[in-house]
Amino acid sequence: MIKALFWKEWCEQRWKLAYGCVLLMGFVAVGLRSRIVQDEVIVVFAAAGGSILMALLVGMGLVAAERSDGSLGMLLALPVSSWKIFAVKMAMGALVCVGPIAGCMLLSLVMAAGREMSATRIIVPCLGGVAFGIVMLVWMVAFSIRQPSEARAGLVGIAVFMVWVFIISLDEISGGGLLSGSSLAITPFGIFDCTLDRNYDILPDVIQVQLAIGTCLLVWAAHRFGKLGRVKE
Amino acid sequence: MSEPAIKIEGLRFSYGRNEVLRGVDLVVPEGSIFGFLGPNGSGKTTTIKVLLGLLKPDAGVCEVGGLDSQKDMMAVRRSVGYMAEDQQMFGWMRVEQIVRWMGSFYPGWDEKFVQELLDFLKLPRKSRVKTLSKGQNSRLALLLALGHRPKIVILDDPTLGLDPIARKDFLRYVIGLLQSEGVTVFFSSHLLYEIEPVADYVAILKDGVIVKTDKTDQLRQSVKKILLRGAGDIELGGVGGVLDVARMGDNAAVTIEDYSETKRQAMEKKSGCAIVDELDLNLDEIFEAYIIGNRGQRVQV
Repeated sequence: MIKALFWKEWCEQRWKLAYGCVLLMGFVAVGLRSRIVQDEVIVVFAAAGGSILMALLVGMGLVAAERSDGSLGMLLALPVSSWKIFAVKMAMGALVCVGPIAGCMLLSLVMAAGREMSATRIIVPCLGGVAFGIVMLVWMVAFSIRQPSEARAGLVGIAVFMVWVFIISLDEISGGGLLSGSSLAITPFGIFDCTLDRNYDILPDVIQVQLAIGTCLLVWAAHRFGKLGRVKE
Repeated sequence: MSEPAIKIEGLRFSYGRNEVLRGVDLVVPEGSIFGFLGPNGSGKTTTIKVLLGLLKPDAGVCEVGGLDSQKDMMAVRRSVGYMAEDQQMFGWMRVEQIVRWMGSFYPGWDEKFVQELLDFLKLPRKSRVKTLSKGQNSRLALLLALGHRPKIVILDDPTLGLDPIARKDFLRYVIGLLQSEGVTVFFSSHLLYEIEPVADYVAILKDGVIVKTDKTDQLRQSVKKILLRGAGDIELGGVGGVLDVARMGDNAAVTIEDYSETKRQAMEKKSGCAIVDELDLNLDEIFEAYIIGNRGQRVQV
């Protein structure tokens, strides 16, 4: 039963994985080969940009595509609890989201390890990017789960991201007073920020906070996923 | 007497402040073909979604095959064949893929029967679902609803969007497949001529309330159109069961339920007019009388 759900999700999401891999790994390959900018810029940009792009791409299609196609009703009428369907969707979404970033990390290790950056300095921001991608995916899905189309889900996802960017920008403007110290941990950028700043002391706390927030968001989303909207008769 | 296939008691459901179902009571006998009639927006689909545990009612109890549709919703879904209104499936799957995929969710999936059905329903195995015609799409949805050999089948307006030929074709398949098997079919529709030839029982839902439930034959026999000859205002004040009062040429036409000799005498007495004819109605006309009938007790001739 679960295998069948995974198979369906895989068939629906695999082109996004392929698209993400081609796009991001192509960018990394060209960037590292041409050496126009420092290797670190390429790796960090691929990890950060890739995680946002993939979270948006996956998040907007995970549930909203089924809603707009009208196939969600069929899925929810199966003799499987809605939270299992949602869990499978999220698991496959996370896999597709992190796949291209993991691919970039491997490619960077092959092409540039020991050149300007050590292997560890390549791996750490990429892992931060993976975590950031999953966190952003959770935020985007949680807020866009009831949207009737992929376009609207995408807009909601962008809005969620921009709200956090706005809050962090305000924090920067106010000289770090708004989100000072550990309060940065509550933002979706928390883990990625720690890996970039090599602030490993607070990383376990940040991960715990992110796990708690992510769990709350997922429970909220799963609860709303199983609810059907008003039907036209 | 055997356990009813479906039992609904005091079902209430609201979308926010909009109360869609306002105390629905219904009993569907086992092995019957039950027509669930109602105009658009009357609450048919909502009732069906509550039956399958897809919506949680505000009040009331629903039992499907003896199982509570809220407490045992997974068991209900496993035991029932359900075809949704204008059912959309995964367009990218091939017919044979979606059939195999659905089979993995039902322990009782009968692969041999499904393969026979694919031939019987003339469905192209290799075609993608999105390339099927509307008629083929409906037949595939029917196949998916029947693949696990359910004892109860719920069809929610299954012919919606089909042209008249495809509709007849579909109904022929439904009857051919289900009538001889002793399966209970709960069939919602707003097209009366669709239900009339196949349904053993009908229930009419209006504004979230069942206004009539009866055997199809009995309903046809009990509702009559009575022609009264008279002039000026004809009043029927107090005659029970009047569904519609209208002018019909020089006569007043009164559609009345549970027509009997007592009612005949009461009508003649109250109106002071002679009854000139008693007409039988088809289900379409009966439905119309229940749904949009003029319940006023006065007509001018």
